[in-house]
Amino acid sequence: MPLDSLFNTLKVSGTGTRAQRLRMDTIASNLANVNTTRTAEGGPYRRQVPVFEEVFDEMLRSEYDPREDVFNGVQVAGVVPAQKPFKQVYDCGHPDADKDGYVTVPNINAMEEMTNLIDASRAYEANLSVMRNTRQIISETIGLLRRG
Amino acid sequence: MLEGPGFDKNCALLEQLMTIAANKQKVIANNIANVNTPGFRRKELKFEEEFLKAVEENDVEAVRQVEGKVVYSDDPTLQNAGNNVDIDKEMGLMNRNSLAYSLYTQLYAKKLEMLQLAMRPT
Repeated sequence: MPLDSLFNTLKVSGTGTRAQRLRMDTIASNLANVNTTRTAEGGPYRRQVPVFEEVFDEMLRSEYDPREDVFNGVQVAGVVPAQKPFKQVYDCGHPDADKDGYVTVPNINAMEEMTNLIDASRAYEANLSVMRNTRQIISETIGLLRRG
Repeated sequence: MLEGPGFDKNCALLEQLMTIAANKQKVIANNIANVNTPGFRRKELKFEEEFLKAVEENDVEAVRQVEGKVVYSDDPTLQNAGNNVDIDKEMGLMNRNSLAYSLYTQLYAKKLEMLQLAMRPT
């Protein structure tokens, strides 16, 4: 039935918008902490990066039956700290400065976060328009019942 | 599946085309959902050859069995994480696919209308 498949499409796009929203949350957290020098783990805040993975089905490897509900979109494998080293900034009046007057600040580049934010919101919109589009063709299918 | 004298080959054709277009929509939605997934390779639903063959042979049963195959596309990788989804291309494909689906539903509705017309007492 086409309708089953279309309802699953809505689910798939839903995982897409959820993943992009989480990405935006992470970016917001990174931007808010761009100057944070103290954290619970000690040391400055470390940039967080969400890692996405496809919800992968074994069946897809060889023969694949499109009727089966095998496309489940994307999921978040985890939010991991970025590996980039911290930056050293000279600020001798800062309470967290070391004996030479250098402060270790988070490994966050505000510009990079902003471009990622634009990318995330574009991708979010793309998923939304797939949803809108699918919804429209679902209602057209249901509209076939209205005749007669 | 609708059967009976009023439901001819064209109905079977349209039904199958709608099913395939719905599956295609799912494949495209999956590509778009994975636009930022590292190492993801985009997929396509191929059905045209199989479908055309069945139509040319005028074989209704064969038409009804066409499901298409999902294949990995070997488009060039555009992003640095080994992902070859081009969001603009996917959006274009999605729009085309949903328009095709609308066309099939409209044609199907027309078909039903004609049936009603034929049944109407004068």
